[in-house]
Amino acid sequence: MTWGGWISMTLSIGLVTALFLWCCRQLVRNSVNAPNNASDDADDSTSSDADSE
Amino acid sequence: MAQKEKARKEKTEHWGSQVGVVLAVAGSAVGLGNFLRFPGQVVTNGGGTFMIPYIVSLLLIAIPIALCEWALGRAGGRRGFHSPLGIYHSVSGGKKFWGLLGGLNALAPFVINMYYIFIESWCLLYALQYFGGVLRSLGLGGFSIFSHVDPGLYFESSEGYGNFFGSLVGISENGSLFKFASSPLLLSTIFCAACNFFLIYRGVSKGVEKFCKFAAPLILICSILVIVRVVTLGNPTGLPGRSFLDGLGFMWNPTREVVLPNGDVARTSVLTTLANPDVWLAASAQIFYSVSICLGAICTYASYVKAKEDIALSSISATMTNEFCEVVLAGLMAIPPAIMFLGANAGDGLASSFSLGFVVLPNVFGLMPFGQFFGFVFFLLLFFAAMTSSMSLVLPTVALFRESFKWTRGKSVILAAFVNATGTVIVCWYTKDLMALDVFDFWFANLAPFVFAIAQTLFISFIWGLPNLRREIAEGAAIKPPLFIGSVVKYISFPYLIAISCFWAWKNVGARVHEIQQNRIAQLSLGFFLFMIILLSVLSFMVMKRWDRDKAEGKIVSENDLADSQNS
Repeated sequence: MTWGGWISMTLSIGLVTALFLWCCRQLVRNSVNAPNNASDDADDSTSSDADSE
Repeated sequence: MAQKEKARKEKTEHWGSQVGVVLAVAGSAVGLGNFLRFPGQVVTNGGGTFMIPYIVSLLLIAIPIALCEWALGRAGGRRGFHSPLGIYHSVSGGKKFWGLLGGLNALAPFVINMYYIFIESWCLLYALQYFGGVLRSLGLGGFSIFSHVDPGLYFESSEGYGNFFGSLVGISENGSLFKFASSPLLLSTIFCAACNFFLIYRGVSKGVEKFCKFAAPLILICSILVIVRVVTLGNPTGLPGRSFLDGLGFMWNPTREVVLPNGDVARTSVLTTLANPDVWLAASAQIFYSVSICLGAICTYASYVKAKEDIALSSISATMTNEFCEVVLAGLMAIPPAIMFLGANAGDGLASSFSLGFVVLPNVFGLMPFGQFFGFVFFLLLFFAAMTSSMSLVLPTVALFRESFKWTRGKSVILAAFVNATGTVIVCWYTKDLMALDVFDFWFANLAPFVFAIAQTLFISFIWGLPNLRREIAEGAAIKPPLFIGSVVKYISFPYLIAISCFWAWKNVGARVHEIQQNRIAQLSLGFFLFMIILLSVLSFMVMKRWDRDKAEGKIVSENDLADSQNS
C-alpha cells in the first residue's frame, strides 16, 4: 500500500465515518428529547404549509 | 364498523420512531450494490482517485436530491397520499403530466423488484449451501494445503465456482429452472417473494420498520465478523504481495500500472484519472444506484413520516448510513481477501458484481480457514441487505393500488404480488446468459433513475418551487436545516445531472437499441415494459380524473386541507 493509498483510504473512510457518527449522535439526542416534544406532535395538523396555492 | 376503523388506521399510519424510518430508508438503499458493485467500481476506475468524483457526486447529487425527495414525500403524505402518483399530483396542484410521471416512477422500482427477488434468492441459497456444507466441498481444500499448491490453481478453481453458479441460475439454457418442480432456486425465489409481500402486508410500522430494526444490526454484526476475519488472516498463502495491506493497496492506491497496446507498462497519475470522464460517470452512477434516489422508494417512505419530524436529519442520516456500509464495510470486506487468496489474477472477476459475489468470493471462502462459517455469514448479510431493499421497491406500487382502487392493504398486496410474479417468471424462464435479467436491469435500474432524477429536480426547482421546499425542510427541524440545498439542486445538481445523463446515454443506449433489434428476449422484455407502461398510464389518468372530481365535490379532505382551512 502506497502513501497515496493510505491517504485516500483514511480520508474516505474517516470522512464517511465522522459524518455517520455525527448523524448517530444527533439521532440519539433527538430520540432522548422526543418524549418531551410528544405534546407538540398532537398539534401536527396545524402545519403552516400552504404551498398548494 | 371494525373494518372502517381498520381502514382509518391504515390510512393514517406512520413510522413508529425516527430511528425506525432512518433504518428503513438506509435499509432500502443498502443492498447488493454496496457490497458487490462499489468495490469493483473503485478497483476498475482509478482506485483511491475514484473517491474524489465519488465524494463530489455524494455532495452534489445524493445528499441534496435525497433531501428533496424526503421533503416531497412528506408534503404528499400530509395531503393524504403515499404513492408517487398521488404525491406528484397533489403537490403540483393537480397537474396531470406530473401525476403521470409519479405513476411511472412507481413502475421503475416495481420492475426492478421482479428480478431483484431472483438475485435475493441466490443469496439465500448460497447462505443455505454454506450452512449445509455443500459449497465448502467444492473448494480445492483447506488452509493446510496452501503452502503446497501452485498459486495459479487458486484462480483455476474459480472455474468450478463459476460452473456452480451457472448451473444454479440456469445460465446455459432457458427454462432450465422449471424442469424440476422442486428446483431449489424456484422454491427460494417463491420464499423470498412471500416474505417480502408478507412484511409489506404488515404495514410500514409493524412490518417494514420492525424488520429493518432487526436486519440493520444483523447486517452490521455480520460485516464486522467478516472484516475481523479478513484483517486477522495475515498472509495466508505466504506469497509476496498477498498480505492484507497489499489487498487494501490494490483497492485504494491512487496510481495504477496499466498495460499499453504496445505492451509497455505505464503508471496512471491522479490527474490523468481525474481527466477521464468515464471515471466521473462511473462515480455518479454508483452514487445513484447506491443511494436509490429517484426510484419512488424514499418519496413513499417519507410520506409516512410524522408532520413535525426532522426530515433533514433523517435524510442525511439514512444517506450516511448507506455510505458507511458502502465505503467502510464493503471497502474492507470484498477486495482485500480476494487479493490475499487469489492475487492479481482475481482482478478480472472483480469488475462484475455477480462475478465478485458469486464466483470470486465463494472461491475465497473455499480457501479461507473457517470459510464455511464466514461464507454463510457473508451471504446471510447479503440476503438481509437485499430483503430490506426489495421491500422498498414494492411499497410505492402497493400504495398506488391502494389509492387507485380504494382497496385495503391486503387486497393491494395480493394484486402487486400477482403482477410482480409475471415479471419474475419471465426473468426466471429466460436465464440463458441471464439475458432477461440484464435487459430489465438496464432499462429500469440504470436508465430510469437518470430520467426520473432529471424530472424530479425539474419538478422541485420549477413546479413546486424552492420556497415550498425550504419551508418543508425547515418544518420540525431539530438541526439547523441546510436550506441552501434547494439552490444547490436547481443550479448545480440539475445541470450536472443533465450532463452526466447525456454522456451516459451516449455511451450505453446505442448498443442496447441494437440489442433490441437483434435479440428476441430483449424484444419480449421491451414489449412487457410497454404493456406495463400503457396499463399504468391509463390507470393513472383514470385515478387523477376521479381525484379531481372528488376534490371538486369536496370529498377529499387531507390534513393539509384542514391546516389550510384552519389557517384561513
